[in-house]
Amino acid sequence: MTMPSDKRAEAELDLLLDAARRAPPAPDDAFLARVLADALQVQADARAPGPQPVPRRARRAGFWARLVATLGGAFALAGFGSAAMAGLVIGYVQPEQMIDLAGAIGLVSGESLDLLPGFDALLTEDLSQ
Amino acid sequence: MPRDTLAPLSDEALLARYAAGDPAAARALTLRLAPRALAHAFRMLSDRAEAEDVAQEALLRLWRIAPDWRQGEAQVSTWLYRVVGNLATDRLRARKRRRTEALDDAPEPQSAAPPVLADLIEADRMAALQAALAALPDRQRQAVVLRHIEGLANPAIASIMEVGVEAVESLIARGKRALAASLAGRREELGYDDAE
Repeated sequence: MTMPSDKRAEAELDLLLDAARRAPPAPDDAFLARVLADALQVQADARAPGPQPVPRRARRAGFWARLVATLGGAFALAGFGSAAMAGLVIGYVQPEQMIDLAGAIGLVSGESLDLLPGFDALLTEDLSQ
Repeated sequence: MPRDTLAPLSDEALLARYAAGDPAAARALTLRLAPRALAHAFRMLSDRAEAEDVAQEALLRLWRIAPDWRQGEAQVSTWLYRVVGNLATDRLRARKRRRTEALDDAPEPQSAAPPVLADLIEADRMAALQAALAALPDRQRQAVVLRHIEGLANPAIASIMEVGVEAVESLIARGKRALAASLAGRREELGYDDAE
C-alpha cells in the first residue's frame, strides 16, 4: 500500500524538519567568544561608574552652616577662634611680662597714659571768666 | 558561582544575575542563548556570516536592556526570537533591494544548483531544505522555522511575530505546502525512494 503523493511529501518534509531540529548549526568558539566578550564588556560598563545612588532632594543648610557662611567661611571662623584664644592667654598670664613689654615700648612703670583726655581744663577756664 | 548551579535557573533569573554583575551568568546565558539565536538567524538567512552578525547584535541588545528587564512580563527567549527575526528580516529586505538594484546578474547561491545525485547524503537534504526555506516568503519561513525547527507552540510564535494565533496557523500551513511542493520536485535528487 502506497501513500498518496501529498501525504508522502508531507511526511518526508516532517522528517526533514525533524532532522533539522536535531542538527542545528553549531556555533563555533570564535562566535561564542565574541558574544561573551560583548556580554562582559556591557556588564563592566554598567558597573564602571559605580552603583547609582538613589536620587535625594538637596537639604536646606542648618543654622551653624549659615552662620559660618555669614562670617566668611571656615577660615574666617578659625581666625576668630585664634583671636579669642589669644585674649584668654593675655588675660591669664603673669603681669610682669606685660610690664616688661610696656617698658620695651617706652612706657615707664607707674605712669599712666591718658588716651582720652577729659574736659576738666575747659570747664575750669569757663568758670573763672 | 560554578556554572552547574546556574543550570536550573530560568533565562529570566539568569538575566537578573547578569544585570547584578555576575560574570558566571554572562557565560551561562551566552552558552544557552547564542546557539538558539544563531540557529534561528541561520534558518532565516541561509548565510552563516550574516547569521552570526544578527545573533551577536540581538544578544548585544539583550545585554544592554538587562538592567531594565521586567521580570514576569516577557520571556527572554520570546524577546530574543523576535529581535533575531526582525534583524534577519531587515537583512533580507536589504538583500532584495541590493539584488533589485544590481545591474549585473549575480550567480544564485550554490544551494540552487542541482547537487550531484550520487553524493546526496543527509547534509544535502539539509541544504535542500534550507534552499526551500529560503524560497519562502519571509513571514511563512519564520513561522515554519519557529514551529517545526525551534519547536515552539503557536501562541509563543504569535507573540514573537506579533500576530494572532490564527494568522500563525495560516502562515505555517501555507509555508509547509510550499515547502512540500518545492521538495517533491526534487525527490529523486534527495534520494527518496518511491518504494518507501
